[in-house]
Amino acid sequence: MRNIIKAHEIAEQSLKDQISTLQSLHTEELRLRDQALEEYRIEIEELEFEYEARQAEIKDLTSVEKEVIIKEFKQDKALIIQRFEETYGLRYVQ
Amino acid sequence: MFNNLLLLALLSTASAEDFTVLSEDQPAPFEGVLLSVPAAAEVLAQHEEVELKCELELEFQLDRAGTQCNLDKKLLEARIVTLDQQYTEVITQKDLVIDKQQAIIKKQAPHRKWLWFAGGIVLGGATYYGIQQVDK
Repeated sequence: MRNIIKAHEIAEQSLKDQISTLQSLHTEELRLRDQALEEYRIEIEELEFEYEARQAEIKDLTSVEKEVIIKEFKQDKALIIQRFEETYGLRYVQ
Repeated sequence: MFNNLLLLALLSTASAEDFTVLSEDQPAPFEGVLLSVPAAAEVLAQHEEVELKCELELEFQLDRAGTQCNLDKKLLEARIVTLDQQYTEVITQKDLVIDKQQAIIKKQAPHRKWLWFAGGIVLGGATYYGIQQVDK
């Protein structure tokens, strides 16, 4: 009888130890998860920031490009002809 | 208005993909759509803008998918590590319980063995004595 009680106590202690370890493992996993999520948030934020900055840059480039094309037309009409041919595959007719 | 004009050809006298460049007051060689220089510049620049935006969008979506993939990987790695440690812990604890319970059984076993041994000797002796008595 005494041995049965002792065996039961051993099993009980083992389960308590398991619960304690599992809790600490769970806490560690949550910490890693939060860390990963935070890193993800920062990376996405940086990507979106860069994306918006480059969108603005493209818009600026387009404005500059328009000015360049207008300037080119005044200087040399052949350049705008070439641009239309290369961009849209159109055929120039005199 | 600008002195120079651009004509994009559309109709019968020119093929569908023809265009020409005109100066002001110059007669058009075919019927079509006439664009001012800024409008033509807009058409050309927009084409380039769309290309650049498309490349940017593609790059952005790829980066985002990569970041998402990286997050999933990290979460799965954390799960694997936890499960691995959980498994080790459970096995260790089970082994510990088995060892301790075996020790209890072993502690109990020699006492019983001794009883069985003593009982065997007594029973053997009694049988021998009984046979001898019957023989006489």
